[in-house]
Amino acid sequence: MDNNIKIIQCDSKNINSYRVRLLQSFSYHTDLNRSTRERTLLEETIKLIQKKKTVLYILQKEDKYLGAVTLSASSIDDTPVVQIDFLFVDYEYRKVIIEEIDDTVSNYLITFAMSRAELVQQTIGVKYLALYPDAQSETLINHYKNMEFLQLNKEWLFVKVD
Amino acid sequence: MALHIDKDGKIEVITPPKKLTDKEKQILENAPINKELIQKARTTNFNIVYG
Repeated sequence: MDNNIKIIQCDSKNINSYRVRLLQSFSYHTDLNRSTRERTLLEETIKLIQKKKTVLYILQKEDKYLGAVTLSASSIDDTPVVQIDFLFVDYEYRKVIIEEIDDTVSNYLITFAMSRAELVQQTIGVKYLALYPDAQSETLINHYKNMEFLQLNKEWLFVKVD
Repeated sequence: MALHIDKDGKIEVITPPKKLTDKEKQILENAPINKELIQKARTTNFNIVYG
C-alpha cells in the first residue's frame, strides 16, 4: 500500500468536518444537468450520513479526493445484505488507472466494499453485496456486470459474499 | 439506502426488493461466488483512517 493513498471513514460524528471540502473539491461532470445531479446526490448522501443511515469512505491520494462510496445494512427479501448506497468518482479520474492502486477508483472502491462486507459477515452475518446503478445507466450496469455482479431484476445488481 | 433523482428532480430513496419472485429467488440462491473480487478484497491492504 502506497502511503499517499488512504481511505477516510466518515460517519455521523465526523462528517461535518469533511462536508464543505467534499462538496467543493470534487470535479463534477461537464454537463450542467449531470453536474447538478451528482452534487445533489452527494448533498443528500451527506444528510443520510448525519442521520446515521450510511457510512462514507473517501479515497484520497495525497491531498486530492478521488472518489467515495457509502455503505449500509439492508436486506433483499429476508436475506441480509451490505448495500452500496452511493459511489462517486471525481470527474477527472473516471476510467483512469491510478498507478498507486493499479486500478480505477471505481473498481478499487467496489473491492473495498467487498472487504467491508466480508468483515460484516464475520460479525453479524450477511450474504450479498448489493447496489442500485445510478439512473439505471446501461454503461454502469455493464461495468458492474464486467466485475461479475449479477442482475437480480431490472433495477438491482448483487454479488455473493463468500 | 440508495438515492435516485427522478425526471422531475424529486429525490427518492430506493431500497432492495422485499418480495422476490420465484425466478429472482433462484437467481439469488444459485449465484456463484465471485472469487476474483473476494480474493482481491482479501489481499488488498486498505489504509483506512478515521479522524
